[in-house]
Amino acid sequence: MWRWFHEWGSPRYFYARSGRLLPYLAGLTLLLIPTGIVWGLLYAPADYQQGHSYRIMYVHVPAAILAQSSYAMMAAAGMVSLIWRLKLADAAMQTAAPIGAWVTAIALITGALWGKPMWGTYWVWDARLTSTLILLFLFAGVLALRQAAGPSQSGGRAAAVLAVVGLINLPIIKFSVDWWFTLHQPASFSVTEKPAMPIEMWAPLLAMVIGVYGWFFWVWLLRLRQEIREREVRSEWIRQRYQNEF
Amino acid sequence: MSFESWGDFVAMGGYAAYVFGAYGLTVAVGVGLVAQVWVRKRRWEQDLRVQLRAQEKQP
Amino acid sequence: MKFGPMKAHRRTILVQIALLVALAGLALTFVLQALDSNINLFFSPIQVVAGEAPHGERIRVGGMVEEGSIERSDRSLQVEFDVTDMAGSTFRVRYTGILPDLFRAGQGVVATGVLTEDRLFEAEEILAKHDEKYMPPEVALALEAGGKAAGDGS
Repeated sequence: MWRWFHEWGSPRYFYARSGRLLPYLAGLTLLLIPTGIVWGLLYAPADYQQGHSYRIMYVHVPAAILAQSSYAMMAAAGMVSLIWRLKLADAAMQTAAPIGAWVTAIALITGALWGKPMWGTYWVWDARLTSTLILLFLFAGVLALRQAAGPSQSGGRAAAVLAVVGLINLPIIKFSVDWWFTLHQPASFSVTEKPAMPIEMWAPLLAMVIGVYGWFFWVWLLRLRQEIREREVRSEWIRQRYQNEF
Repeated sequence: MSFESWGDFVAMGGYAAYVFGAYGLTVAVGVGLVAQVWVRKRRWEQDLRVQLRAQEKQP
Repeated sequence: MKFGPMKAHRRTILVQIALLVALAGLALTFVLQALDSNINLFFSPIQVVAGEAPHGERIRVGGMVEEGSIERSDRSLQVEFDVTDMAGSTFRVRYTGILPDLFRAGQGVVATGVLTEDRLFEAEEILAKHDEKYMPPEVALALEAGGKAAGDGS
């Protein structure tokens, strides 16, 4: 286990091995997302109360789920970089932040586009919406602190601490709809209960959720590999890789 | 299909702007983030190529 | 760099992080407790009925629109309806304007406005709250035909 950790923690080893994953992640994304979009937009039945507007759910819900789990992954990378001073973990945290910020922004904007016709407003300062906005600020804060620190790895520590402390926001987002009176409805899915919708409605959603995870890992890996290339540009192994190519 | 015609689909039950706006934005960001890394990689490779050539000329 | 079963200084960092997160969590818990009524988006019917919701101030109230209580004016956009918590607490809301698409009897609603007299709320904005249930229309019809209300249970 420690040997495995040691090997994968080296940028060179990671770079050499991780490239093989790219086609699978790209394939998963390009297969599931178009399927989910066509299925959700065209074939899933309309909702008895919301009509066709509920189709926004097929982009909103995956974005909201991914926003929270990508934050957890970014914070985990930050934690590893704090404890083991691993360059790769620092790079992973830095590259996850902008993707997570965009995903959170999409969750907020698609939610607003759903809220306007259904609730009657784009935005309301209820606990769910506000805590999700804070998630966006946390992503932006981690990104800004990390960028300000420059390429040195020690500079990333403040950003990593913020990322880890910001984890507290995740249970608040999750339980906000149960703890307080909010405009946002409670969750339609839970581990213990049946989904509050029939299979022909949640199946395309499942395709989208798996698809956006595939997309996230794909983009994250692409960015991380580019970050490694840029950070390691002076090292022999990366120059040799490219010397043969050019 | 849960729509009678393409016209119905485009109208989206009156919610076309919201629904297609949400999907359009999501797809644009999804494609945009992939494209952004790709462009960054191409630029970086070009810079490196120039550097490596310069090195070869003066050993 | 050397890895191995966790070294002492790494364990120290881990403990420091855990402490920091725990402290921040504790502090935040106190803040959220203190702010509790501000974080709640609206006053519930029981709070309105019990007089906990302030009068004459701009506030938000929320609850379910009582079935059969909606009265629309013939000449204007004015509408009146009862908001209930389905547990015996009910107050009346008066509103003039366009209602959101999801507004209907049996659905949740959040109104912004002023509580004028006991149990009459003059609303200037009505927001519809939707529940977590999704159903194709045919299923909803079938359920209704079977005697079970479609939006039942929330």
